[in-house]
Amino acid sequence: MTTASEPKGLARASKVYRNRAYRAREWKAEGKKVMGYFCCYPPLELMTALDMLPFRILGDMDESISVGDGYLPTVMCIFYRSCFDLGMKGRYDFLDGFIGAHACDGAERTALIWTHYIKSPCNFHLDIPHTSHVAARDFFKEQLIHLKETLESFAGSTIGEARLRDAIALHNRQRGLVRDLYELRKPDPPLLTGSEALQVLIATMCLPVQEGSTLLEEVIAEVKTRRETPEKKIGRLLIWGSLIDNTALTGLMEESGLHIVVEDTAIGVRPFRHDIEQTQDPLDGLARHYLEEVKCPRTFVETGASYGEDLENRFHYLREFATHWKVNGVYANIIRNCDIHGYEVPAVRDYLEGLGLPVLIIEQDYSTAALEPLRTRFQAFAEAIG
Amino acid sequence: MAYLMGLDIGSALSKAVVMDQGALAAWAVAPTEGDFSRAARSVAESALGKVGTCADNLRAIGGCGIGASFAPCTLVKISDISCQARGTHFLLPGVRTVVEIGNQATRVIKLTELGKVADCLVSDKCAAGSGRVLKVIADVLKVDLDQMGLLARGARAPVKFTTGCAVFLETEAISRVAERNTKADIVAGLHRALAARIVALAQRMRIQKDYAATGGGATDTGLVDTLNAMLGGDLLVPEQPLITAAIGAALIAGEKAR
Amino acid sequence: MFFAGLDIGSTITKVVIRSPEGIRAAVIKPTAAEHRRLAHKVMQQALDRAGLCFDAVQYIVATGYGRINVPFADVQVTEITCHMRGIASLFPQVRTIIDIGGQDSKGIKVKDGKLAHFVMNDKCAAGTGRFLEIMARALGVELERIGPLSLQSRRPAEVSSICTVFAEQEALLRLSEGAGIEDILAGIHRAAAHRICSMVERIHVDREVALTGGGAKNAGLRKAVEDRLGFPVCLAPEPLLTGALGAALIAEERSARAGSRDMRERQRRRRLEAVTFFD
Repeated sequence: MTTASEPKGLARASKVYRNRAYRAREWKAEGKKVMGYFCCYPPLELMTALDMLPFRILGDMDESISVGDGYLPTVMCIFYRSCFDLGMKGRYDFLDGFIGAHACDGAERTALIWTHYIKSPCNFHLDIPHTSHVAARDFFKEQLIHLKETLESFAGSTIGEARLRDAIALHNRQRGLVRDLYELRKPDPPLLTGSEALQVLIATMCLPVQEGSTLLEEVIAEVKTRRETPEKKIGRLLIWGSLIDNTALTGLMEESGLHIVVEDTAIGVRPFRHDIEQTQDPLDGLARHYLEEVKCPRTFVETGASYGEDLENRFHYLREFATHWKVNGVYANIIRNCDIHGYEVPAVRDYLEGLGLPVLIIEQDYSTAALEPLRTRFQAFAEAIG
Repeated sequence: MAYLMGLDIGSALSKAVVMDQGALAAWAVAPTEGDFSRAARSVAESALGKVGTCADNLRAIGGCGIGASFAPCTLVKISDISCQARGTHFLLPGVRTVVEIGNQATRVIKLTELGKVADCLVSDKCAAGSGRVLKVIADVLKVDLDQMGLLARGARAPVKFTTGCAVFLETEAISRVAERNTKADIVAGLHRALAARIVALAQRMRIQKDYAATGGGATDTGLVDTLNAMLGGDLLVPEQPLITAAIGAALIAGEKAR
Repeated sequence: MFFAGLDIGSTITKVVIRSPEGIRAAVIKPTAAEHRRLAHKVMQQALDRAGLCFDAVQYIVATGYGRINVPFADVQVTEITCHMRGIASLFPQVRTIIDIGGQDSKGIKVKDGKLAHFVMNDKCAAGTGRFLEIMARALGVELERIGPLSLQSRRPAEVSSICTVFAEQEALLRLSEGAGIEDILAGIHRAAAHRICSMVERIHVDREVALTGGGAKNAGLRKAVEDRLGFPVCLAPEPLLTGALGAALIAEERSARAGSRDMRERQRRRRLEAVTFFD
């Protein structure tokens, strides 16, 4: 609940970013439920329709992984290891339920181990196909039906069609607002920095949907009218790859002479690019959106007849981003051991360099302690663009 | 009278013990200085001399450490890890986790109640977390390793070291000395950096009490205190942390000779 | 018109003062642990050698590990860009640069005189000058002699390339096994070359290849790299200076781009002093 003394806009986003659980804890104190989930595949609409707060589980680059390594091998995605480490340290003890997902192998295995060691009253494992054929879509819809039933059973009430449509509308509205926010990054210089945008996006993932939308509206209004805009820099970057959830990294890039204007990551545009279609059976719209519209290499796209056609099939939307946001360089962010993005690197690099865009590829250790050596790399990249 | 001898010929230090009917009779430690053969002979003779006996009265000789093959005598070669486990168990039977802080590497060994190796974790790709940097900095600051703890006591603002590499850690520490950070802050900072690495290694194994620290790094009371704090207390250190593996080598060789 | 480039490396500081006609003066000095306070002194030495006063220098670019500690520099540019520019001016046909510094090593790809790709190792001492320093010390040989001595080897010994500390131990083991010093040194150089070349191969080695940085002055390391690559590499007359040279060239370019009023304004504010923000 926002009171008169609560900050608004970017200041509020910053506050939530720094203390992500605070609103969730208030929500619980009101007797409502908070559902933690992995990645951007579990449909938020199902949770919102039952008056549950969907809470995106993220890691912490400032926390070195200790306990987590006793349960997970080190040769796997550091981000999910961090998420699990935080869970074992009690940082997610406010969650009433946990929805794991087979977004990628790292997410899947971690989710299963999570439910074994971190008990919560409601657990669900969302099995997500790696293709989007008709059969896969049908299968995924079945999974969503199971998820819906599990949540209803936990909530002790059912999701009527009207409530589900309302929830879809609310989340679509938020997606539209995020797209509006991204529009504000098209000018040169962009009206808000990548670090500011990141704080806003993460804040929306910790707030009830309407509060997140209000926050977005406040930020858009604030950013359009503020007098101090970010100073102009040479580089305008598209970030592609593993997610970035800490402004220490975006800040480092921005200090090195680079604007971040658009992010094709699981925290960036991927969850927000398209609205969910209100289909006759709303679950069809949900299934189609989450399986097909959320564009991540974890979902296999049909191969083309030639390598060139294949690249075009998989990455054409990056060309649109690059054109509309006047991108002049791409940073491929690979969290160490991220197979999903790691395997794609040669192809995405070929595609982007084919468009004449320089690409900087860094495998990083998802740790603020290991960030400083990256400064020279970002600076050199900025120098190469300029 | 039949004694047992244990030799632990390491990259930095060579150690010898003589066991007499299940009790520690004498021990000797000397720097290896790149000559495994000479160092082995030197400590063996020194330990024998302290007991007042000679090599003929040895029932068996056990050897471990990288330089064991170069010792100029017939010995039973045993893995470092088994020796470390057995020797620590002999001195501190309640210990279930040994953290051996050596020159080249730090090893975490889980023990059974009988002092056998249940599990072990070694960093084989990299020397991060090894005790080497302590010795180097101690030399730069012209103190002995066992005085480093005292030195660190006065620390007000321990230096935050950011590198993982043992070699770069050394470089960073040396440049701090030149930049006139206080010795206390540098040493305390080093202790923290090392202890954090060691604890991260240990926690991968879900270790159990009692914990013990051995090896050259365990003679640095400052490192031990820092580790102790990070592990939540109860970190034991044998009175002579350098000779635990040599003791184990002697005991295991004695068992095999029967 | 004169321009200066300062390359404050982790081990060695280099200054180049040049004009469009060529290099006027160059200074190479060990950085030592107090590098942060020394940049102005080395600059003064270079000015003395050039017979110039500070104000005669139009534009100054600082690069290298310690580049932020040069308060009198007009701009800082990464050593990646500077090495590339320096080598490009000496060897226009070079497409791959291998830079072996005191505490890091880099691979840099050049395309049409511009930076294409790069890869760096600054996390692990293996494959850097530090590796060789530690080996030299462990074997009791002067650093300047390890290269020439290694060239005398007939049978290089096997030495680990994974970690400096492990390699040090292995070198001692080989010694105890009776291997000759020159064979062990050759093994050490091969290990370093293997480490460095594996890294550079990630961005594809295209000829011609130039070797630069302090490591390039080691004949044994050069040979090991050439053996590994299978062809000879280009070598600057003074490999330590390519970064500072590139910085000086960039200084000339930036100076031409900057407006004259902006230049005068900057020169008025500039002073040749020690950095103050540590006190």
